[in-house]
Amino acid sequence: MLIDAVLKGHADFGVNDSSAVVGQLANFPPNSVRIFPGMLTKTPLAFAVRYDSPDLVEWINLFFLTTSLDGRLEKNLNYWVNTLDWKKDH
Amino acid sequence: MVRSLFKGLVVAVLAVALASVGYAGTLDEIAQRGELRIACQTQGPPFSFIDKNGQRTGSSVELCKMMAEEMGVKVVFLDYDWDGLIPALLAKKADVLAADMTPTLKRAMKVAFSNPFMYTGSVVFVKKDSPLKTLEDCKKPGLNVAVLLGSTGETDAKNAFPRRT
Repeated sequence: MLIDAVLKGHADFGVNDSSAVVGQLANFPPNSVRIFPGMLTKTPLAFAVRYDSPDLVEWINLFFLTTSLDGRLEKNLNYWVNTLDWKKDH
Repeated sequence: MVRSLFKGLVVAVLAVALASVGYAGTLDEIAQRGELRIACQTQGPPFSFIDKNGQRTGSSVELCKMMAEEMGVKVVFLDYDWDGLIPALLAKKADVLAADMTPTLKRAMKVAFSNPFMYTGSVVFVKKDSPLKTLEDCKKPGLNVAVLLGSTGETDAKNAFPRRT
């Protein structure tokens, strides 16, 4: 909807969450929109557990560290979030 | 006196031993159950959605599958509306809440967040051939900005481009 408003000239520019913008670009012609480099804000995303599961949250933290170091986390995010590569398979 | 001290010591040692034997963490429960239960939302790409083949997938979903594989258990996804995610976790219907959720201080009063697995944020976008090239260009008077009302993007736009509001 926001991208549509910008492409149709109803707005000069749009502001929205980066993952939402990248995800919605799949519905428009390639390269029809230019995203400025950098973000206005930086917001973390995380998983959650109950406070009575300290062992599990520690394991998840180690999982994120391990997959960061071996490249699996970056591969996941580059495929799903930072690009539209997933579109051809899903 | 010595006998009562000895009795007290024995009781204390037994209490510690029983406590350590009786303690079963969530990881033990998951291993014994053979299932990692995930509370998630089917909100659409890229984090969690049903693809054209009818399969649940997305960034968070695939990370959870990877977690279960590392644990050596099956993964079970339980679908909830956004408002139902935290209650489901607290009611022990799920072990992990895996959504594109921001760990705010308010939410952390109820649930324990992991370390962040990624950072997101608001971005500015323009039509491909727009004369706007930088954030400074967007601060010029007379420009219209598109935002979703009530979203973080609206708040960020108001902060970054106060003259637009």
